Amino acid sequence: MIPNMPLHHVGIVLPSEEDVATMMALLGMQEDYRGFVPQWSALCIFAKADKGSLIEFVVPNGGPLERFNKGAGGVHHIALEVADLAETMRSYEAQGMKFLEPAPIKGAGPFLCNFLSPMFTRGTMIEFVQPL
Amino acid sequence: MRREEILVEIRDVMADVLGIDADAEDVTEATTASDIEEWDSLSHIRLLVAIERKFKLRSRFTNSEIESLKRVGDLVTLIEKKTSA
Repeated sequence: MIPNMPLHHVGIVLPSEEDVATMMALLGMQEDYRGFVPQWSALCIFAKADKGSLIEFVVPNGGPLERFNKGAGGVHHIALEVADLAETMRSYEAQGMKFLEPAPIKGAGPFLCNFLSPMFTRGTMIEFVQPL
Repeated sequence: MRREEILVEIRDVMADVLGIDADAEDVTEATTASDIEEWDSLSHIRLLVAIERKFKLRSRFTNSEIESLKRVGDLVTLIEKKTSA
């Protein structure tokens, strides 16, 4: 187990970019950066709050995420920051756990990421993020 | 419980969790996740947790049991085993 992993961001699935704009306005947040992640078929828009807590708004474009919470969206995952994602994966895999992708993938911003299979968390989506 | 009774209960849970029509002609013991678009890796876990609650299973599904489930019929067999233990 990797100790003391700080929270990197919380991921929220929303059906459209318009919904993201509405939510950011509601929360008084500004867009920080965005990117499309083909592995998840999703546009990921990162927003910063005043004190720097990151929220990732995920807008699916096909794929399973589009059906998340029966299409309504909602809080989808928490992301924890690690120094070395490959090493983190090896540590969990040594305990018999699996990840959604066989190797770290490039995220929507300057980081690598991967998700622990929800099988090992009984449905809670946990992402690990390695800043670049 | 008989297999058919278990299957009827499973169909109810699938309809609720996956948001699908899960009538007898839609879901049989031969049905697999690849037959149902809404049945992905995350909804699979939610489905199994809902089934544990529905059947009030004393022992939860283990990771190896979850991985071994390929067809609805496998799930019926596993519930049959857990409810008769």
